[in-house]
Amino acid sequence: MRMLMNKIEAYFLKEFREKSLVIVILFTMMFLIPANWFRFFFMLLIISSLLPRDVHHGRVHLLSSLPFSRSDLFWISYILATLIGISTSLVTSTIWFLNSGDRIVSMLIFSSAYFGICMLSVSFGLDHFVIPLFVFFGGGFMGSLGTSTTNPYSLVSPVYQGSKLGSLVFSLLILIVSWIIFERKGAPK
Amino acid sequence: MNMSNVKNVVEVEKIRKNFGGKIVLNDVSFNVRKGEIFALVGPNGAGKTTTLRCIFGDLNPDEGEIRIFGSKLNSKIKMRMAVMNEGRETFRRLTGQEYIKIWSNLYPNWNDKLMSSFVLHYGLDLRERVERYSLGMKTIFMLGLIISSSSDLLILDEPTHHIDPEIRMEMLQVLKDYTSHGDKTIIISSHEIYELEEIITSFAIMKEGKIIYSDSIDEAKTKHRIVGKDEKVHEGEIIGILNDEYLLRVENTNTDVGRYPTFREIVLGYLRGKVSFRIFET
Repeated sequence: MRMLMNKIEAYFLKEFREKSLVIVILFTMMFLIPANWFRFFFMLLIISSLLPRDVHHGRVHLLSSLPFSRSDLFWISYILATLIGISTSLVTSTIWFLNSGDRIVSMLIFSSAYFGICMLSVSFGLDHFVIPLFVFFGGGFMGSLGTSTTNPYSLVSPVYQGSKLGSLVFSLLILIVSWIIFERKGAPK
Repeated sequence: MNMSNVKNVVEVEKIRKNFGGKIVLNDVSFNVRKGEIFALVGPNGAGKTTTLRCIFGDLNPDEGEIRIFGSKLNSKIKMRMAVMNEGRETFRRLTGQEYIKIWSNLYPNWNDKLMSSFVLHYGLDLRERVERYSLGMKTIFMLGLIISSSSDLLILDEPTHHIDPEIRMEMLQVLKDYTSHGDKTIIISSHEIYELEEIITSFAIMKEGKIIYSDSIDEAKTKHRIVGKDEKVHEGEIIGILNDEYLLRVENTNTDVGRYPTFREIVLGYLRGKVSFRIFET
């Protein structure tokens, strides 16, 4: 347990020193514009700037040459992404008098799905941001079609979240599949 | 299995790796024993770095198997090994102090006193961002981190590249001293073969993604001879041409043919093979 905490501390220190500016700007934007679509978009930018960016730019060997397994990297980066998402949800709901529980859950669902999508994209040698952005807009469009009775995708969509439980299960499924693939394939370069 | 008793620290068995259809490693196999300084030598592009990346888990081989301390690579094993990357790329914006904080967090046997000695001796400014160090300073700093990790296995890709000859000799001595108790093992990849003979105990020669020869230094010298081109020999196999001499592999190690080769001559003989190349006719 102590070693895990040491790994988390080391990884967080590295990420906050390297990417502090991006994280602070996007964090600020997320609580200035509390509308779901915008905060999800900014969250996607934050997620793509973490581990997916390092994998895409061939810099993950700097981490994998240290005592981090691929699973360590995947889950510690995911923890960082969700902590950022949860803390911005708490701050915005306090400032704008919104339901914090609902916003935390919706952010958790979105972060899990899109962290998975970003990692899937880079594991197959694709982009860390553009491909997930297409998925974001494409998924949003698909979710908006029809009603929940005629379009079951809107129930599980990580953006629309017609059913919280359905979208949570769907997001976790994407996350776990991406973890298995990253664990097996590693960095493509 | 008691891991402290494992004789082969690293076992690489028939690993293959392709990048986009291009074969980079082709059935690479070798073992590294506990307490050895093992050199992976060969020209640029031979596959040395890819082999090391497979060993420390940055890449997965397409085929074959790698065992470290008798097991497949896992988190616990990674805490017993420290790696120096070839390109000297560093994390952006991190100072020397922050680097030390990260390394001391990740390595349970971290030796702060040793790192301080490195910092003082080479005058490293720990408040400076490591990315702003010169290439030589980065190399020294990384070697300091690696030695201070007190890891059982060091994997060093071109560890003396970019540093002055005088400091290079100091570093090689540091590496030799590191393994002097027999419980630490080092794998060095290098194409600078002149300096390695002083410290290594065994080696493998890589060319075009294959291991073409692997042995201990002493055994390799006993099994080979250098003979003049005009000298008549009736035994052994010609391995390679070295200007006006041949590298010969002999069956009878007690033969009095020729003279014993140096490490450099063995490596060059294998890498050049039987094709001699001269621009100017003599």
